[in-house]
Amino acid sequence: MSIEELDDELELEEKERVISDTPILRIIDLTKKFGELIAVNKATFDVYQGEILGIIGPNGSGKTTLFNMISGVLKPEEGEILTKKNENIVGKSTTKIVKKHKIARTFQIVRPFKLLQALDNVTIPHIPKGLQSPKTLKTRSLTSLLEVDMGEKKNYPAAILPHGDLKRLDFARALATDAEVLLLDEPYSGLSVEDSFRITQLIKNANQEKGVTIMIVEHKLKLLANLVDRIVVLNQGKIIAIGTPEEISKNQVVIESYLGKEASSIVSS
Amino acid sequence: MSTNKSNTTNDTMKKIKDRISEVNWSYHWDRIKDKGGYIVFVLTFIFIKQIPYLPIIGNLIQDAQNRNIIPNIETLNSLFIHMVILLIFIVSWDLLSGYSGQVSFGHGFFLGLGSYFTVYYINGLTVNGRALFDGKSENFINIGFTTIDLNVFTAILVGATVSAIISILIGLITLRLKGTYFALITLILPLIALNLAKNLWEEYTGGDLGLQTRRLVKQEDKELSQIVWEEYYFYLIIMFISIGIMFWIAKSRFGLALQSIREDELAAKASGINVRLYKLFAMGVSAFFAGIAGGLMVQSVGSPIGVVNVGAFETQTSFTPVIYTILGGIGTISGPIMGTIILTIAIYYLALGLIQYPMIELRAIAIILILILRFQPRGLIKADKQLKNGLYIGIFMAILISFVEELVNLPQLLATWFDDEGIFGLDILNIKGRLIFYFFINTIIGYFAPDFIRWARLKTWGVWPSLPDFDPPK
Repeated sequence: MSIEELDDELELEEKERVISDTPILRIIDLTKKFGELIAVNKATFDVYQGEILGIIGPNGSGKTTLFNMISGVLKPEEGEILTKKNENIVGKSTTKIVKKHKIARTFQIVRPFKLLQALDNVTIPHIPKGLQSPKTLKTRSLTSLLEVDMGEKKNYPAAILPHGDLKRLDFARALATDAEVLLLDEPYSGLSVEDSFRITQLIKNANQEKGVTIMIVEHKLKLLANLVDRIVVLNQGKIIAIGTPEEISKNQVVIESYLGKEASSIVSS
Repeated sequence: MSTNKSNTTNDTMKKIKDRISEVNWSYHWDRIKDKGGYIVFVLTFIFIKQIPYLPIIGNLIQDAQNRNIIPNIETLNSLFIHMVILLIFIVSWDLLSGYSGQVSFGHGFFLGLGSYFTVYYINGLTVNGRALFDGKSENFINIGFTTIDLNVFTAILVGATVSAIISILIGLITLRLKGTYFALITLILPLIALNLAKNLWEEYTGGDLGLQTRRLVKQEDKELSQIVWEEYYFYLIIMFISIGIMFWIAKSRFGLALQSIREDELAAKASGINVRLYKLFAMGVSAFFAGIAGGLMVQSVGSPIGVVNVGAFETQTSFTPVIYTILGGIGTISGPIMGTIILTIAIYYLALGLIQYPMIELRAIAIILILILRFQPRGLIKADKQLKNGLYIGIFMAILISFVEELVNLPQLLATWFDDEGIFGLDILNIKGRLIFYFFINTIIGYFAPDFIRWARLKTWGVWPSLPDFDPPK
C-alpha cells in the first residue's frame, strides 16, 4: 500500500491552519567554516510562525550544520539567528535555547537514553520545568508517551526498542520540551512505509493542534511535497531557492543542481 | 424488565465495591517480598547486638560463635563499625560514578579532606604561628542512648562541607572532561595530596603518624564494651540518614537527570537538562557524604583517641569503592551495599583462612573481581539466577557442614588427605579455612547440580511427570 492510498484512507479533518506573517526565526547571513571548507555560506531566510518548512539539498550541503547552529551545538563564524522577540541566540548553550527560546530538535541518528525505560526517556524533558509534584510529572510524561502511541511499551528499556519506535520516542522527547519551533533532522530515515505514515501524522498533529512551527531536513521529496508549505534548497552551503514545493520542482537551478528531471516530475505530479 | 435490569446493575456495582474494599493481601505480600533484602539489611544492622539472645536462632548463633564459625561479639562490633563507615563512602562513590557516569578514581581525596578538616575544626589550625581558627572545647549533650560531643559532630559536618566545596571547585575545572580524562584527573588528585601531606605540609598533617583528636562519644564513666556499642549505634543512625538521602536522590527526578547525562550528554542538553549544574550537584553531594565517611573514619580506630593520617590519600583507598561497587552492581544503590557487605565479610574470612600468606586476601579479591567482570559485568545484584542459587547453596551448606563436621571426623580426614600445607594455602586445621573450602566446593556443586540433575533425569526417567498419550487433532 503506497503512502498516497494510506493518506486517502485516513484523511484527518483538516483544520484551517494559521500561518502568520511574523517570522518566529530570522536567520541572517549565517556562515560556518570547518577550516577551509565553508559548510554554510551566508544563509538568509525567515521561518514563519505555524508553518512547516522543508530543507533539502544533496549530501554535504550543510543542512545538518544549519540545524546544529540553530540548536546551539555548533557556533557560527558569522551571522545572526533572531527569535520572535528579536533576541540573538548565537553562542548560547543548547540547554538555554531549549528552555528559554523553546527551540527543540531531534537527531539524524536516534540518541535515546539506552538503559532508561521509554517512560523515563520522555520524563527527562519534563524535569527542568520548575516545581511540580511527582504525580504531575508522571502524568505529563505519560501524556507525552501516549501522544506518540507508545503507551504499551512504557516499561521497555530504550535499548531493546525497534528503530521505528525510537524515532517516535525521539519525537516525543523533543515535543515534551514545550517547544515552539521543532527541528526534525531526517525524521524518515530508515523507516518503513507505515512508520513514515505515523511520523507524518505526528508532525501534522503537532503543527495543527499545538501550533508548533516545524523545520524538516529530509531527502525523501515524495514525503515532503505533501507535507510542507515551503522548501529551502541548499547546495554546497548556499541557498539556491526558496519557495512552495511546486515552485521548487519547476525551478531550473534546482533541477540542474540537485533534483534531476525524474524527481521534479514526481513532485509536480 | 426495567426493574430486573436495574437490579443486576446494582448487584454488579455492589460486587465491584466489595472487591475494591477488600485488602489485596497478595499484592502487599509481593511488595514486602520485593523489599525483603532491604528489610533483612536494616534489621540485621539494628539488632546485631541482640541476635545471640533471640529466642530460636539465638542458640544456633551462640553455638556457631563457640565453634568460631561466626566471630564473637567484640569482633562483630568492630567489623560492623568498619562496614557502616565504608557503606557511606562507597554509596557516595556510586552516586557520582554509577549514576552521573563521571567515573572517579580518586574518591579517597574527598575522604581524606573530610578527615583532616574534621580534626582541624576540633584541634584548631595554626599556620606560620598565626591561628586560622581556634580549637573547640568539649560540649557534651545527652541524646538518649548515649552522650556525644556536639562540637565533634559539628566538626564532621564542617569537614564534609569543606570537602563538598573543594569538589565543586574541582568540578568547575573538569566540567568538559568525560570518561577516561575525568578519571585520570581524579586519579592524580589523591597522589598530589599524598605527596603534599607527606613532605611539604608534614607539620600540619602529621605525616605517617598522623594527628590525634577527641572522640565523638564520651569516653569516661563507662566500660569500653558499652562505649563501642554506643558508637556503633550512633554511626548507624548517621549511615541510615546518609544512605537514605542518597537513595532518595537516586530514585527521584535528580537521579533520572543524572542517568540521562550518563547515557547521552548531548541528548540530555537537547532535552533542556542543565548538564553543568547537575554534574556539579552530583560531585558536591558525593564529596559531602565521602567527607562524612572521612570524619567518622577518624573515630573508627579501636583506641580511646581519634587518629587521622595520610592513609586516606593512598591509592588503595580510592580503588576500594570501585572494586566493591563493581562486585555488587554499578548504577544501583543496593548493588554497592551488597558488594560492601559481602566483600567485608569475605576479606575477614580470607584473612583468617589464608593466614599462611599474609595480605593475600587482596589478591584473592582481585581474582574474584576479574571473574565477575568477565562473567557477570552487571554485578552480583543482577547476576544469573543459577549463580545466585549456587552462592546461596554454598553459604548454607558451608555453615551446615561446619556444624556437623565433628560427627564424621571431617577435619581429621581432611588433614590426612591434604598435608599440613593445606589446599591453595587454605589453613585446613583452622575452622575459617575449612569454611572457605566447604563454601568453594558447595558453590561449584550448587551451580552445576541443577543441570546435572536434569541431565540425569532425562537419561534415566525421561520427562517428568510422564504425560499421557496425546493424539494430535486431525
